[in-house]
Amino acid sequence: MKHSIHPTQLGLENFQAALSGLKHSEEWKYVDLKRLTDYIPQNFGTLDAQSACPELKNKIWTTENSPQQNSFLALPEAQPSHYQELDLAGKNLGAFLLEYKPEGKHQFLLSHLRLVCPARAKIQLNISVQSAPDAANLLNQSWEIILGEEAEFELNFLDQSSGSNLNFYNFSFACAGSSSLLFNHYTHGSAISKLNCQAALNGEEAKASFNSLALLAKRQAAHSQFLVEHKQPNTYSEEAFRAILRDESIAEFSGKIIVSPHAIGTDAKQLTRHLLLSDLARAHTRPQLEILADDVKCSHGATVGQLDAEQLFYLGARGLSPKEAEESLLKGFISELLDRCTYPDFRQAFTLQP
Amino acid sequence: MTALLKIEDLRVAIDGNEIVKGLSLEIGFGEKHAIMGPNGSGKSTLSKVLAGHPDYEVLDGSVQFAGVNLLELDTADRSLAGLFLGFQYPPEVPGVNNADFLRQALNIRRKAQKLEELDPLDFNDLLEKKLAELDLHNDIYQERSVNDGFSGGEKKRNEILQMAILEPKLVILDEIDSGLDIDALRLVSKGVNAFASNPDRSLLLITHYQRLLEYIIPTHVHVMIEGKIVKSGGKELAEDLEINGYEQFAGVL
Repeated sequence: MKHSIHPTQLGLENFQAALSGLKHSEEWKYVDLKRLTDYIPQNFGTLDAQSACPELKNKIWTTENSPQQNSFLALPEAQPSHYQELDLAGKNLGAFLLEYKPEGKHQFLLSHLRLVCPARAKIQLNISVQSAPDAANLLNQSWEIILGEEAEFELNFLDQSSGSNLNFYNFSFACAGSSSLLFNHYTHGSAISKLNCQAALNGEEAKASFNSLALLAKRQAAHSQFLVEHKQPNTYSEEAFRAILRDESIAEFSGKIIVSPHAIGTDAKQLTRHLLLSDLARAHTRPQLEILADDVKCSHGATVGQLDAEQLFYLGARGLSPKEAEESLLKGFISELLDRCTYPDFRQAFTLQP
Repeated sequence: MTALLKIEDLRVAIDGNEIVKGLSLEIGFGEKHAIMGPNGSGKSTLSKVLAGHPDYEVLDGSVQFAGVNLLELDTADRSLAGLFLGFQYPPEVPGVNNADFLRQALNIRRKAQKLEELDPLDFNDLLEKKLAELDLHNDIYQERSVNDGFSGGEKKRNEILQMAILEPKLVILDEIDSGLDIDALRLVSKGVNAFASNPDRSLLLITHYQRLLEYIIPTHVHVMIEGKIVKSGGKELAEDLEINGYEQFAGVL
């Protein structure tokens, strides 16, 4: 009865079958694989970019054919049946909002969008992912983003989906010479969320900045994997990752920077900060630098800690109660990364409490 | 008239080490007191314990402030009761806008006093007025995060700005002169003097050096050595210390 299976179901089956081989890998060892192997969706679906952004409808093509290269998928082995391509040619300047609002509560949902930001275009794309408040969906969203020469692209990603979701997001960026990429990622967390982000700086003087902010609680787990490859001279990258962890939540950050032999004059920075508000919360952070060129600047820093006692005392000495002082420091902690987003609606929508 | 602050036989420890060892001090309304002493004499500990720093343990003694038992209040309530500590090393608070923070601190106070809270526009008028009075012509105090990237002198001036906005009854300035060049010292002193000219307000200056006391003339000077006040006098005591140093008190204990 193979013909009766929803094509997306095959992706889930392949993925679940592959999980047993992943459990010993460095990338998956902190992921609660049992939650994934046990997941039985009520139905299957796709997240459609056309309905997410009616404004770009005639710019989005849907195909049933998988792209040749699918290694960037968040769930390896999951073969997408639903693949869309968005060409922003002619849209040299503009801001677009993609709003994904799946209605199902226990669905396996796939989307795979390839997006081309043409040379010299200045584009801001704002993506919000929402869900029913009590949903427990399994999401597998993948983006492949190609920046032309001198393109300026700001991608703001706000995850407002249910705290019980299992979310797998994958971003793959290819950046041409003198292009500039700004990627801001904000989430209140889900039962499991995994963010994979790969960027290849393929042209000279390409710049890429990544900011990720996760506010986690209960038994949520967030796993973030960043890979930045400096392939040409005078390229720049910056990764700033912050998480606030309450209750028994877990945050994992793994960031690798590769500077190829040719990429002299590379400037790469990585900074992670985890704020633990509970004795039971845990943070793992793994910076990795692989530098094969001379004359480069690479720096990384990682802190895991609690709220600063001297700052709390200082605010208290100005009359703020312990609760007000804590809230003020937490707002400060998030605002530094939130302010890098130039889309005001997302800055307002992302608050300390979901 | 009762004193604004009355400390009796105060003993304070941190990590089990007694730092303040039986200190008594009375500060009346409108008085300007200075505590001088060498490094490690417990001056900064005294200022922190009065402000309610959680790391310090009060072993014994009492502190009355404006008619209440200060030691029973938490840090915030001491501030709301009218006690202000100007920090020796004000911490940086990245991400918290200085003006927003000042407005929040003022409005918490106004709310406690059953006064109407100031909206951002009214607060901005007040802030600009205070900045002009203090000769602070730099937009860092409005635009940047609290003390974030401020120089040592700018941090101290921000303490004075906070004092001017919050209008406390007792101002404790812990080494406000450290890290200030002579022009900044003049500017800060001018602000403190203008503030303290109100007879309902009192000052407690903590300093190593007599230099500060040439700009802010104290009514009372105390010498603190090894956790105790060993001598009290008028402003001439500070001049004497400048000439003869603290060594003359070595045998007092």
